[in-house]
Amino acid sequence: MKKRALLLLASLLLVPTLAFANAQIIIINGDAPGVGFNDPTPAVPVGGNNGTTMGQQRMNVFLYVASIWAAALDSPVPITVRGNFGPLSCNATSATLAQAGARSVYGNHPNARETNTWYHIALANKQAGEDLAPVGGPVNPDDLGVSFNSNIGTPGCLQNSAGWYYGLDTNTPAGKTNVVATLLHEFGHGLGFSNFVNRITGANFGEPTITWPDIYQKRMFDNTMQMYWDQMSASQRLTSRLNNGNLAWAGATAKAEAPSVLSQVGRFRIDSPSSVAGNYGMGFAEFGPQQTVYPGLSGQLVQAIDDINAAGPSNADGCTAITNDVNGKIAFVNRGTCGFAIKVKNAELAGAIGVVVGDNAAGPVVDMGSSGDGAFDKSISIPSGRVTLATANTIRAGLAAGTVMVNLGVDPVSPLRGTDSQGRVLLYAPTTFISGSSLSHWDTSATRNLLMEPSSTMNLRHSVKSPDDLTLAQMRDIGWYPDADVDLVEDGDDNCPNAANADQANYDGDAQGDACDSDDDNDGVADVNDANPYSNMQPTVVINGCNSNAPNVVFPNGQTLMDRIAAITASNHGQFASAVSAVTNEAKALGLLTGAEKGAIQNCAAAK
Amino acid sequence: MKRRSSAVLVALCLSATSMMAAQSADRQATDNGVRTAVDANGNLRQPTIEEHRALDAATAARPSIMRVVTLSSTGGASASVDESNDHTLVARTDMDGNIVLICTDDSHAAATFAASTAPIDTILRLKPAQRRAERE
Repeated sequence: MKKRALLLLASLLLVPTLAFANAQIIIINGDAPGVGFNDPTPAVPVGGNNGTTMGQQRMNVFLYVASIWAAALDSPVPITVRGNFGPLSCNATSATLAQAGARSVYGNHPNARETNTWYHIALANKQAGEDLAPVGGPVNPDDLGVSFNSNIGTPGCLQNSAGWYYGLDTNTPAGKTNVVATLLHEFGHGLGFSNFVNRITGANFGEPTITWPDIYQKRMFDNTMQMYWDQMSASQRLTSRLNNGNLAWAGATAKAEAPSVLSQVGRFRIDSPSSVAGNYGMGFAEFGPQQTVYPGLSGQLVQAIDDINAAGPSNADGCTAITNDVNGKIAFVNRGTCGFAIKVKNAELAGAIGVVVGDNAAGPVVDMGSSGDGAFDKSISIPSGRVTLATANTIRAGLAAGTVMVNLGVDPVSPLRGTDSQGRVLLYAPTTFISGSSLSHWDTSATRNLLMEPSSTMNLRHSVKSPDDLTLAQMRDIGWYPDADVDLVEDGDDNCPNAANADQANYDGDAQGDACDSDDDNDGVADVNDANPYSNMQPTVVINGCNSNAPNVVFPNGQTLMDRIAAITASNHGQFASAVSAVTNEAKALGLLTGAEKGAIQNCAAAK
Repeated sequence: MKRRSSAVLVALCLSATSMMAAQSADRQATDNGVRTAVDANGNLRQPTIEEHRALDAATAARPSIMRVVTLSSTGGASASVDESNDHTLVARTDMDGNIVLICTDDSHAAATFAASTAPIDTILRLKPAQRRAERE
């Protein structure tokens, strides 16, 4: 509740709050009047963003992103995000676009999944079930801080950039940067996709006074050293951060979900003619459907022909409309002059079912990048792949020899792209230039592109969950456990996952807790009709240690015989025995007991 | 590089006596936690009243810059994370005029990237098979 007070103080101009199904995210407007979120400059609604001022559109994007994260995470504590659009550092050729992070960390909080471990504050709050960073406390009361550069695209500030795209869709125009994807990414860092190790010294956060690792680094595993980051010395961490291709995320959830998100290495197979038949490497495209299955797309490969013109000086580059018959076939075009997506689109318009682009220079297998125009990329509906110059020459030899039948797919025995030999998703550990300064990201070898790669904002779906993405899986691995009823009991262990019951009370010991069990004592009488929902359900009637061996039957009102006997108030033993007789007679009259059973109970009652 | 607003870094103290001292009105900004000063040799000592007041003022002015590790009475510990630790998305125009983006783990790396003229491919895709997909 204290955070609500903060909200009122900080957002006098705009107080957006949204209540979501699983978590509540509160956006605190950190901008001054007239700027950023409060910028009154008129704006044309775009891509589902109906704001009519720059300020409204910016806030709409924040709320949209908050809704995606709120639907993915469960927390009983509102997550507060202080956002602002303002001037960040920039010049004509470079700029800081955005920055974000957790505003505090916490360790050894109530219900901490792992002790002596720093947690991002929003996650610590979730596990504790309380706001650990209240207003007036020792640390910043905000959970996340996010700042965007409002000057991008203006004179003197990366003016060649087309600026931000505020649409809520993925139809990002060429040259613009999708704010939704960027913000999803930045939220991810603040919520848990980051570590706090000192980049310069390799020391844990809080040293020298506290030597705890953070929860993120405890999942970082170096395949060369065969050690987790929290097991390493500071100097070992400095070495490990440069171990490109060998630093993996050792979280079980991300590993388990990786096959549903990542693809295997592309494979281009020539089936005939026999002179060139075989398997060849193939890169994928960042547009159109990804041909990531085995055996993939099969068909006849034909050289596509287009006009020689200003758009393309070759008749095999596919830069203009295809003029020969590629209908129902896989078109082969040469790389060069125009973008990959244009070539593939031209082939699709001519009826091709797939495209192979042959490289025009020697080199390794490389993927084909997006056109930069989200809407254009999404208009492509056929798969495509890229082969090396050597493979392209092999194809040409095949075409000269006769009909070429091919297959575009994946190598079924290859590892997933972006994983190690154990199937663990690789972390980015660059060896040059920005050495080790981007560890809080997935490796760029991941395919499909992932939200938390260091440079990937194109062709991303606005999702954090598999099969689109692995960010939520990573969050699960650090302790953002699913808890739909936010009662601090993980759904998988919760006997009422959709009804808050922190005590997990379960009177009858069945699969459902009392909070969601319609018959708590399992006596066959629904609780709403039960005179005693928590009946004594022992199997036989026992009176003062005397086991009658008669069944403890249930009366129509939900009371058991033991309930009724326990409720008897008698001033002496004779009265008690008489009352028991009355109850058992009633049970017999209802057909619940036999005469022998009734007699056995009455004998117990009569005994001293 | 972490910014520190004073030569004396205020840190935590685990001792019970210090916990009791936290009740001082001068330390109200720490709520249920404790501040202890660390001298140039790394030894803990009680901060002076002036140091407490200076920290209160600095924290109020720039609450996210200070790194104050605070221990609660229940054994938990908390610390603000300063903004230099923010993940920073930086853009740069490459030699071909394309805008290239990269997210770095801190502002120092972001500044280094922005100022560099190194070829983009050496930054984003280091192994041949991992090179950033080309557009044409």
